[in-house]
Amino acid sequence: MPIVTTSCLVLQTYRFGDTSKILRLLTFDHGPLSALARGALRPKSRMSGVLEPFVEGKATLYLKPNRDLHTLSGFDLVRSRQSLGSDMERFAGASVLAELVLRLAPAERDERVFSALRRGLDDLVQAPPRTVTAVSVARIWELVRVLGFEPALNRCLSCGREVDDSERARFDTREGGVLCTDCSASGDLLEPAELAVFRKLAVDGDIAVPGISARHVRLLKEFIRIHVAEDLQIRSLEFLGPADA
Amino acid sequence: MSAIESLVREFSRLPGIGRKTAQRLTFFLLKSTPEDGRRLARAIERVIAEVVACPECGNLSADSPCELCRDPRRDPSRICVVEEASDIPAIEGSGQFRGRYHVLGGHLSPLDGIGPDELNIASLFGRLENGVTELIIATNPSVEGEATASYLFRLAAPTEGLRVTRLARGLPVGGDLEYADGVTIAEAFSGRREM
Ligand SMILES: [Zn+2]
Ligand SMILES: [Zn+2]
Repeated sequence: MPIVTTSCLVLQTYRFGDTSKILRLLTFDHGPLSALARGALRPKSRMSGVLEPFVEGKATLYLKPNRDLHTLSGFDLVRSRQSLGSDMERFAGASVLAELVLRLAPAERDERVFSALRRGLDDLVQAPPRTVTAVSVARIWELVRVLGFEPALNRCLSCGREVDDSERARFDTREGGVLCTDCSASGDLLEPAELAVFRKLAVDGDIAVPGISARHVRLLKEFIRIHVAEDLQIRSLEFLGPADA
Repeated sequence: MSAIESLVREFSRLPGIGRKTAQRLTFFLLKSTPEDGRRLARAIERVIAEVVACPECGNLSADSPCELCRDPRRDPSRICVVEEASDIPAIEGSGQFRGRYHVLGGHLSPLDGIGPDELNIASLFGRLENGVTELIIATNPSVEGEATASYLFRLAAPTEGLRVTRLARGLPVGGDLEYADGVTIAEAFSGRREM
């Protein structure tokens, strides 16, 4: 039974029995895994109150070969991120990031996924109140890109013509990108300004945008449902605001 | 499956009971008098038949409304919100609170699909209209408990004449109210602050 120590981010926790917790972790060295933290709910446990969603730490784990549930034997807290519970929007954004990793991260070590999640959580902790939605959306797009999916926003998916900054275009969620107005009459018609915001958020990861429309949040959710999650349900998406447009 | 094995299995489904303990409990019962075993069986039958969620506050009780909601000495103008009915004995044990309770039935958890609609929140706001002057939010000091508290605060804050407070820190962060001792809860109550 090898003992390993690795940086990790806590994605989800469950109570197990009276005093223990089961953790879903993204570890830096071994990818996602589940671990049992025995006695973690006992008030006197050194792990009491530490093993919370979005927490970052150095975990010492007994890895059991061919098993799904490993054992956590130690945890040194690096960052708690408790303030992600300070409002529903931050909490929902962080939950979507964690759930995407939980359902879709590759089974082995992946530095880019780890960094994208960590950066997203940190940015959500620090985001001034009025920027929380923009930060959520930009960091979710970033994680989606790292997981291998990206909306096509520069060229028409039908004729291949470049769609420049001055023209309107239609975003077709099913196609996964934009079509020029000559090629399509369906899908959401985006004004040049809205398309520019879309590119900033989804491609450049730029959070300095003038504002986020409810429509953009809806298109993000639809893109994830159709292209990223497919048959998997990403339940926390439902809680990402503003309300569906 | 043998009768013994089937009881061992039932015990081992209970929280905190592993297979070894389940076996110990089973053999303990087998060595006791038949009446001891029947009394346990009857007690289980009774809670199933009699205990219900209080229609007022969500507390689990054989009375409806529960004894806490019916007690005329308790102050109806103060409501303490908890995640689970099992948190109530811990707060009662602190001796600091003589108002009424409201049980949410859990906390917000987007990953589990649990949003405001899945919790006992709508009925809480119905109760606030009846002369309530203080809402004490005693959800767990975990990140989910905090998120639930902030959500409730945002909804309740505009209510005129209502003070919304949260139990003070001192409760272990990430801990569970159910396990906190009476002294800790009493301190958290007396140090509760406006949200
Ligand atoms: Zn075209
Ligand atoms: Zn009641």
